Amino acid sequence: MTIFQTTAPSTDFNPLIVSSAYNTDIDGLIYDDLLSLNSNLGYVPWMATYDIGNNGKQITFHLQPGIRFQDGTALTSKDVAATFDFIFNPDYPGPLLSDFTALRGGQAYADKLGALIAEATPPKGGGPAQLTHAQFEAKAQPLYKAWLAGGAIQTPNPSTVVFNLDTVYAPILQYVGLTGIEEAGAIDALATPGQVSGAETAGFSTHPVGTGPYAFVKYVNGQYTELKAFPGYWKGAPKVPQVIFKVASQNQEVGLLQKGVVDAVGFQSSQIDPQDGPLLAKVPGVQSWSYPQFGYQFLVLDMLQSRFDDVRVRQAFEYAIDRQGIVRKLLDGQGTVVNSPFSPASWANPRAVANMYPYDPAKARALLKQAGWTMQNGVLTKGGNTLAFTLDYPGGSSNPVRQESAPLIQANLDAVGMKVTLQAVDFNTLVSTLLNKSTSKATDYDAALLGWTNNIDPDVTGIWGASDLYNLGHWSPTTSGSAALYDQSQTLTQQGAGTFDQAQRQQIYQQLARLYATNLPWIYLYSQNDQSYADARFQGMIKDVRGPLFEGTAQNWTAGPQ
Amino acid sequence: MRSYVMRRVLAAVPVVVGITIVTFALAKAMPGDPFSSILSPGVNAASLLHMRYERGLLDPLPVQYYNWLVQLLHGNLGTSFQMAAPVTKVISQRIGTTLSLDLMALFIALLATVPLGVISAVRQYSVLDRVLTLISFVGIATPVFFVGLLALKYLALTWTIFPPGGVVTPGVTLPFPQNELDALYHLILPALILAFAQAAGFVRYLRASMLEVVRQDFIRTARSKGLGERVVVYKHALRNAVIPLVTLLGLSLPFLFSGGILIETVFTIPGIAYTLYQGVIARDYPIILGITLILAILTILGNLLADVAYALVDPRIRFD
Repeated sequence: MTIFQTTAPSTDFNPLIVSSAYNTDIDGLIYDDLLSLNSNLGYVPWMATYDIGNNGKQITFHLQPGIRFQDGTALTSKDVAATFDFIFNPDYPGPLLSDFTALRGGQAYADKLGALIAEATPPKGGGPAQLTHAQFEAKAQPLYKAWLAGGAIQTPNPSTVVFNLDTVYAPILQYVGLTGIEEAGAIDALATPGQVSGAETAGFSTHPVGTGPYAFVKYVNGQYTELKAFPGYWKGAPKVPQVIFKVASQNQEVGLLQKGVVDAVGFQSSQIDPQDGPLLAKVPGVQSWSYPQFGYQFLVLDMLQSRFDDVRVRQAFEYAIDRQGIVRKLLDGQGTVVNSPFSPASWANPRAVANMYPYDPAKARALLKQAGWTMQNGVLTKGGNTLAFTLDYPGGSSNPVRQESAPLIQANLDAVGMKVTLQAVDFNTLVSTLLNKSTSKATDYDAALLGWTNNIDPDVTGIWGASDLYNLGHWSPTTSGSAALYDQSQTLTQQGAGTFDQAQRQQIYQQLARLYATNLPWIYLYSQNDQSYADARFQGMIKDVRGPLFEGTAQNWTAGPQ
Repeated sequence: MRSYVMRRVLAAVPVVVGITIVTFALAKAMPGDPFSSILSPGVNAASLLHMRYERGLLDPLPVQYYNWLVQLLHGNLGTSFQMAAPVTKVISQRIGTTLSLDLMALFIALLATVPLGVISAVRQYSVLDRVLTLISFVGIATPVFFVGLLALKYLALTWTIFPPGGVVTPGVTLPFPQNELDALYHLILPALILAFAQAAGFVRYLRASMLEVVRQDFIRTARSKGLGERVVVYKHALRNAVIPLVTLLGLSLPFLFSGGILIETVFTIPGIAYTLYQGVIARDYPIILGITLILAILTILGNLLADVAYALVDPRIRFD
């Protein structure tokens, strides 16, 4: 089976280094994880069963028997421990450490490492850093050894691995449970002290070995990745003997599927161009399916500007923007309007908020009037303030639907009396402007369109805390309207992460969703559905939010006669 | 001649260093860095700080440039952030593809330019000349990516004369001669398209230059000596008319690379031009600097070769 990829993966396939989403897609077939997901994103056992003890501070995984890596080595608890220990290594070059700080001693270790980095960084004013890189290494390695000795991850026997936590933190199940398990030997080879570039370029990363249904054969630079069925796969040998990920530019997706050069289009990160949808559907002998995705689009308002810190103004945005129209016109109906921060497919997403803001310009005008805005010289004005502002959005090749939505949103807002100036900005430039916000300056930007991809776990820690990196709209006790409201949002966020009980979490997230849907720390817009297309002779792909390349499912693919 | 070349090469060194300084300054002046576009709930400020520290991005800019220069003197261009591989390896894997594509395009362009330019000039205002003029203007005015997309649609997908992009047939391992032929087969279509865009301009220059030359006294003299029209045109006139084309060739290298970005994107060719473009988007500084350095050297070399070629085509020019 040949699968179309819109962008070439990087040469580094190591799932712990997360070099690109296109590598992650391929890793889904090469690696298996401890846990898996059901179709509404609840955790289920996979390579291991698990139980939670010590009042939620201990997770014990029991590995299934008979699991082997593609090189023949048997999977043991040592491999699991080595995989996660590596993330704490001071030389680990990837971004995952912050996901694991709930493990015993993890936060303390991360803080100490951060302090060392601060010492090793040259001061802003000039002059040398307090520590050289060698000194940094010499101090960081003992810290790491001490963390290891703390027993956060233990392996009492070859089939059992225990994770000890400092606090009850439910999202850890995603991080520990849905990360590809690597071989201990390979990890040791990666973790040579002082060799970041060594870790990034080690042979292992360019030739990954996992316990998944397909084994890596080769990656031809920028062209294709070849995988072959792993007959010793613990869930049974895959039926399709070879899988190839072929890279080509997006505008070829229809032609290549038509000609049978590729068998599958729109798998995982290689989303189709929505305009190609109708053409792809017309290709003879092709099956298609559509499903919600994790991400959604939003409009962020800089709430440090007093004109945007009134909740009625933000609600007026939701009523004024014809989001249903965007879904209908730009997405061909393949999407949903969202009002909450949770994926439409997740168990955490409450149905209650789904229809909160119908398209209603009259209601928007009424809300704005109520908030004291009146039309003067053709634009809504209140005191010295006007609702004339600049809306930034990523231009270039970034998300074409979002770019097309900008003028529609402009027209919608114009209809209720706002004057919007559109400005297309390079993606990286826009994001770094939004992330490098100083919490005191209101003039960095006015408003921006962006997309957000949720975690699998519904936890929203790190997005709307006053000092959080991704708090782009500056949701805080002062801008949210009331300190009590802000505190409630933070408490609910903590409570949601603070229990493993899904039913209890669901209740908490319903309250949180209602709070955010009402008070709008950013303006929720829509979520685009993913669409996948495959030659009908291939069967057995999963057709829901997890995506067809989800771990541990490719062994069920079958190929009919050509 | 030799001392002239030596002088030119030595003079090129400060130029190349200057280019790297300017490139470095410009690359750093772009907002953001390789990690600033990470928008992921799992990544917090501490992780980003660690990643930046490990890659030396927290050092002051002059220190970062100095470190890069020191590495360069050790023959190391650093490690690409995005591709997680040494830049020298990335470049060596990809430059061959770009060079074969560009040289092939240049060769085809020249092969077409000389006869067409000459005929256009000799038969000025004939139907053939007008048709060629029209085609030239179409070639100059149409962006290569557009021609590329049309060609892919009709020549590779509707009538499967050429492969649909890429530089290898996926999933098969071919022995020695077939493998190289396979690569050649994949490069022909993009090379033809690049060549078309380039020849379109060349033909106009050669035509203009020929028209000027055929009106000169020495051509009339040659004709009155009783030389055949063929000899007059191809031996006497063309040799003189081709000199401006040599300058043009030397300067066409940057064009090939810029046209190459679009062609490489449309045809999924993992060449150096496309890699540079991706590097800029991802703020992959080692890639930006490494490839710019190589391109600067190639462009300077191209100009030098053009100047040397002058001496070969025009006996009046001597280097001392």
